[in-house]
Amino acid sequence: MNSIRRHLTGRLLLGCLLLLGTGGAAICLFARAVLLNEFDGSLQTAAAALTDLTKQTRQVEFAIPLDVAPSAPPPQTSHFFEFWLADGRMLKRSPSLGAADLPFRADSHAGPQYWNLTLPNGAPGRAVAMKYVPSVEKHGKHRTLTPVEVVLVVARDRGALDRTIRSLIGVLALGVVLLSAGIVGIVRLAVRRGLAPLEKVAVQTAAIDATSLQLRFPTDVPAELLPIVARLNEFLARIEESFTRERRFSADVAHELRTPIAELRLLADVALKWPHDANATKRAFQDTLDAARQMELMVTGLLTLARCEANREPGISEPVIIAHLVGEIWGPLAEKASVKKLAVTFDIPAQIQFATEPTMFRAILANLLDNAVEYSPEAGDVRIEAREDGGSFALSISNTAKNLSAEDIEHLFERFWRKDSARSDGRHSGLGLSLTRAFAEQLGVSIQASLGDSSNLIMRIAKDTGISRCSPIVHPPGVPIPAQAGVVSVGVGTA
Amino acid sequence: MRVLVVEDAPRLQYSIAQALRKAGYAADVASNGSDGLWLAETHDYDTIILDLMLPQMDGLTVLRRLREQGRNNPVLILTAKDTVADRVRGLQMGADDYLIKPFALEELLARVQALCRRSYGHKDSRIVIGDLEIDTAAKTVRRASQPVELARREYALLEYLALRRGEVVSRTEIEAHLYDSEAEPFANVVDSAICVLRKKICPDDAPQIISTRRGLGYVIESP
Repeated sequence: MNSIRRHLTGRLLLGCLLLLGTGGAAICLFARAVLLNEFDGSLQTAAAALTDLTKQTRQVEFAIPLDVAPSAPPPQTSHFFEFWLADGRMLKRSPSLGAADLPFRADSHAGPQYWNLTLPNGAPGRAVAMKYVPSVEKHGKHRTLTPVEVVLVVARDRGALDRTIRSLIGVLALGVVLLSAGIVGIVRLAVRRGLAPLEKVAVQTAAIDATSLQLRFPTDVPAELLPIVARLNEFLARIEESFTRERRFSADVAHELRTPIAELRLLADVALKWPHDANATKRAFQDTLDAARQMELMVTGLLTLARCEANREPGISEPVIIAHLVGEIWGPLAEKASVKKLAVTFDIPAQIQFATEPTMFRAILANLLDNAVEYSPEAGDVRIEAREDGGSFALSISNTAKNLSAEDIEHLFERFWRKDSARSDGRHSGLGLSLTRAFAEQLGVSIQASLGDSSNLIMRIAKDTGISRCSPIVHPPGVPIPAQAGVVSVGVGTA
Repeated sequence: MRVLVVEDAPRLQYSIAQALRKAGYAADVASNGSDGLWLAETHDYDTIILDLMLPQMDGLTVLRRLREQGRNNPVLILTAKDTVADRVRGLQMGADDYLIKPFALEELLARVQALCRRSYGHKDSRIVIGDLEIDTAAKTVRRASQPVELARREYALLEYLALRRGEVVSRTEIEAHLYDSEAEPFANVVDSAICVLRKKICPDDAPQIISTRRGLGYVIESP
């Protein structure tokens, strides 16, 4: 499995060990070069001392004081030298060579030549070869001496140098190994420490299930993790809210269905227990039908709400003439308003029209108007007004509502919320305003409830764009134009 | 036995009251908490069936008010609230029983029966007075092992007197416990009911077990 820790550890270790290895090798090579250079320098110094002491005394005769050869080495010394003429004739050799020869190198014109070799005593050595012209003794008869070239090879045992280089390599290798071990430890520790917050978040995330949605990730995490943790917390809050809402919803539905189910069951129980009471049985059937209708109303409402919340696309928009629509919806409500002696005011300019999906928009208005009539007390006020102002549209429906508090307003749109926390007569499912809001959201229209100054509930639906002035208005045939369209009229229970 | 039903769902309220009346109870109804409380304060109900989610005043408040006034009428909470916390709260507030909607009619009747019986200190569903045997569960009466056919209200009267055996029960008490607001008892309804009951349970040769205490009421006891 792909693992950040393994990946990171692997890359870091590879990088560190490569650097360490290269560094160690470079140090090693450099030190070897320095040591060799120094060794060669001392070889050259020894050779130079020998050349200084060499003098041409006669034609091809040289004074080479063996006893002053470098450091006056004893015969078994590790210092060796040998002189040749350029044509290869041996002139002199160091006593330490015995009868053996050093390799002759006549091609060292450019300067001293260094190379490794095996000494006559079998030990590894290093030699320098140089070609030079010795000075000529200047006295008497030897004035005509022609200078000749002499080849000198000086060799030395390089066992000590090899040992030093080997110890250096050994020390460096040991250092590299120790450092590598240290680096492995440090890298692993650092990676573990560095990834600890990530692993903590991972463990916490893995532990989250439907029962622990109230958990939140601590936000004292490294800056890199902060956006993740913040977003996770945000998601958790959202999921928790949605879970709570769903749980409450299921509970609400179950609770709301208990009463009609209890009614159905009791009606059947009573009818079965006392089957001979014809009147009671007839009423039981009527009540059964009513209870079934109430359940149907609720289930239909819930299904509509579910469909709406599933974000289905609203239908095709078309211009709706507000005054007409309100007139149509008000028709069936007028009688009830009249019975309740409501003072109804319409203030809807005739030219206002609104481009929207007509079925949902009608459902919104129908529900709000129905509520206004239903929940207004006897002789209360109902006021419906529409405004259009520079591309924004607003419609407000206000009705007298003496018992509502500011706290109630917050709950108005909740499913199954009712002022009295009690069931109504079964005509209302407790879903009307939830549906209204869901429809409004679907249509992109805002809907707000507020309490007016004179104990009245104001429902306001508004949209910023989508309104256009219709001019001239073509009234569709067969649609009655409400008398209130375009004028402000105040009437008692009339529409 | 007189029962108060406080329930705001109209169909449910009607069905419960109807079932109780058919089962031989006098039943009053209230559709909201305040009416329910007022009725409970003005009548001595043998059992109160109380919904919790009520308009105007919720059921638990009604219950608390009643208990604060020292009223010990048995209360059966009938509600859709089904969590353990809800039940515990209801019982802690002084309810005697708790039934969750939806419910079986037989269970409701049995629980109401048990609560009524217990309010008179009886746990056994059988009451035996001499050779008279009343089965309050089956609502049957036998005298000397012979079944006695009684009308609903006659049975209710006998059961009420039997539950208070040895006590003098006044006409007012009988009226208050056997007739609900829907019945309109005329002046001597209790006297005539007693008369009919005596004839049915005590034929000519049997000793009379219901005696009249002039000016006080009636008492049932072994002859």
